[in-house]
Amino acid sequence: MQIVVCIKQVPDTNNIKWTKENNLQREGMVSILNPCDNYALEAAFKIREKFKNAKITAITMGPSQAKNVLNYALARGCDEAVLLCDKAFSASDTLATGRVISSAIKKLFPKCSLIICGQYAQDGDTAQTGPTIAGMLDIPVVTNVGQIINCDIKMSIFKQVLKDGVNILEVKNPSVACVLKGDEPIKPLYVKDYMRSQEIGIKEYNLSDLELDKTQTGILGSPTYVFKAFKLEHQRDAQEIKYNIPDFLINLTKNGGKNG
Amino acid sequence: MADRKIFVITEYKKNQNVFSDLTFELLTLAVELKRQARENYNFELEVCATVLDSGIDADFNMLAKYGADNIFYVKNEKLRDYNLTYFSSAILELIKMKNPEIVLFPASTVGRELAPSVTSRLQTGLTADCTSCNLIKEKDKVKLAATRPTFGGVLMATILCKENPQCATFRQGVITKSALENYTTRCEEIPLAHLFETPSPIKNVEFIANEIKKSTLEDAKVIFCGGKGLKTKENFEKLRRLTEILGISLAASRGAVDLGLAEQEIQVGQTGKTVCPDLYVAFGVSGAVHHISGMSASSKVVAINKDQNAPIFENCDYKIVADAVEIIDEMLKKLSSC
Repeated sequence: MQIVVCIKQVPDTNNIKWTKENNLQREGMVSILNPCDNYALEAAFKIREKFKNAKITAITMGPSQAKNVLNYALARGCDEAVLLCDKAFSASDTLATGRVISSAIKKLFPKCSLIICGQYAQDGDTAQTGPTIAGMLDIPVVTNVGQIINCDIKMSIFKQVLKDGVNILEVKNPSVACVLKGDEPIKPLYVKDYMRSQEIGIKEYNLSDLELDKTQTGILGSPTYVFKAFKLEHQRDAQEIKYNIPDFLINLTKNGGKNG
Repeated sequence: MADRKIFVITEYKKNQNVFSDLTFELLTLAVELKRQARENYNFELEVCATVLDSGIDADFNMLAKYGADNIFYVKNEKLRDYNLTYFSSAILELIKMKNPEIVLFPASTVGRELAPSVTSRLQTGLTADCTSCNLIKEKDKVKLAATRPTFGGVLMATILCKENPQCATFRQGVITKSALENYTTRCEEIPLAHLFETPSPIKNVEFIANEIKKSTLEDAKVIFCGGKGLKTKENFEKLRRLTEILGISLAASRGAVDLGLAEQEIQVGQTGKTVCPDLYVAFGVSGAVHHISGMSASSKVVAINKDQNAPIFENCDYKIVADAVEIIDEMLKKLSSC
């Protein structure tokens, strides 16, 4: 059984530093594996515990720096890692990204049973790439998956977490699952894990390997584009409270936000 | 051209027999875009609501009241419960038939998987979780300019789409719904039975409802939110106790959730929930824009942070430079003594 886990390298937006002028400090920004994707990997490993012959491939699209997250995925226990890298891929929007990844899956893993993605990426947070990959492959997708209860070649059973309850869904494979970030801590890695990762190595594919045309990817292949980017405006004038803070807060709470 | 269309994908709450608030908010937005088209660009946009169900008693008049000029109703037994395959193929078919220029989707759990499932099959773009949108003229064409937080919410980006339909999703609470005084509507039932003949590859086995939900964060009147500054789970639990004593709602920032202080379910911000309470008190929240975008609609905001340069202080009505944990302790002490 083949499982593909789609992962993404993201800037660590939790540790953003601001300049004195309150601008984003881009220097020294650290890249990490998108937090949800760690749980996507974990979900795949759990399936392999049951089906020992399951082969898990981590795949990402990005520049060569994205090898870091692939090496990490290998160290965590993936059997294979694939980097989709081409200048023509850069500045792809979610549709073009979905096109590149789905083309790669179609070509490299035609017999893939399950594709697992993180529910959303910490940087873009569109939560679209998973459903887009599914749409391009014309296969079913389930988002907000809290647990993959079972998965074999023919069928998956997913626990979908909704606002008002959980949904148990039986889905024909191949399918796409977008998994939520779990609560369990991620196991630390050791040197031996990274040594294993080095031994396996990363496979790289470019535009022509995937038989794509450059009008289908990057800026040319993206229907959306950023017209302008700006900082959020602030609309409140803060009044500083220095004394009797607990009383102030308790009163404000009791009055539903009205002071006095 | 007379019938240029804007689609609003409606959401129907079966158990309550009503359309969701977000449906009316999207209709309000569509009416505003219609106004801009008429006043600024001299063309008519027809607001069309799509309804998918097995036969409902809901008041279609409500859709008209919030601005639907036209209702496209696909009625089929297979649409009784939400099923992505059936719902996305019905919407896809409606779009192909009616050719709207703009499609607005709800950014609900369902909408967020439905929208990209439709747009990827149409090979068009989708701007997710927008906070506002307008019509603008770009290269001689009137385009939907949809604005959303990006880069973890640090920046806002206005996105345009080269293809039609131009699609966007909006979260509940970012638009204020407003009803029309005079309205008329037409309802057209569209049989699409052929779409539902093949069984869906997705089968609903069981739905297990949550136990009595006290109240949802989206509807809360007062919210205390804990951030990374609370540092430990014990401190976060103190804040939880405080909210229980005061009978109000508890939320967490992404920083707190990532540190494992709180459950993701109560996360507020770009990657969590969007809230609009009367009072929002942030305890030890730094206030990165991805957080602000989830709570900026709150009426009054109080921020408590040790760091007087914390960005949250630029987005609050009351600024308190102090250790949030100490304040929580003092409040607990006061409340237990009275």
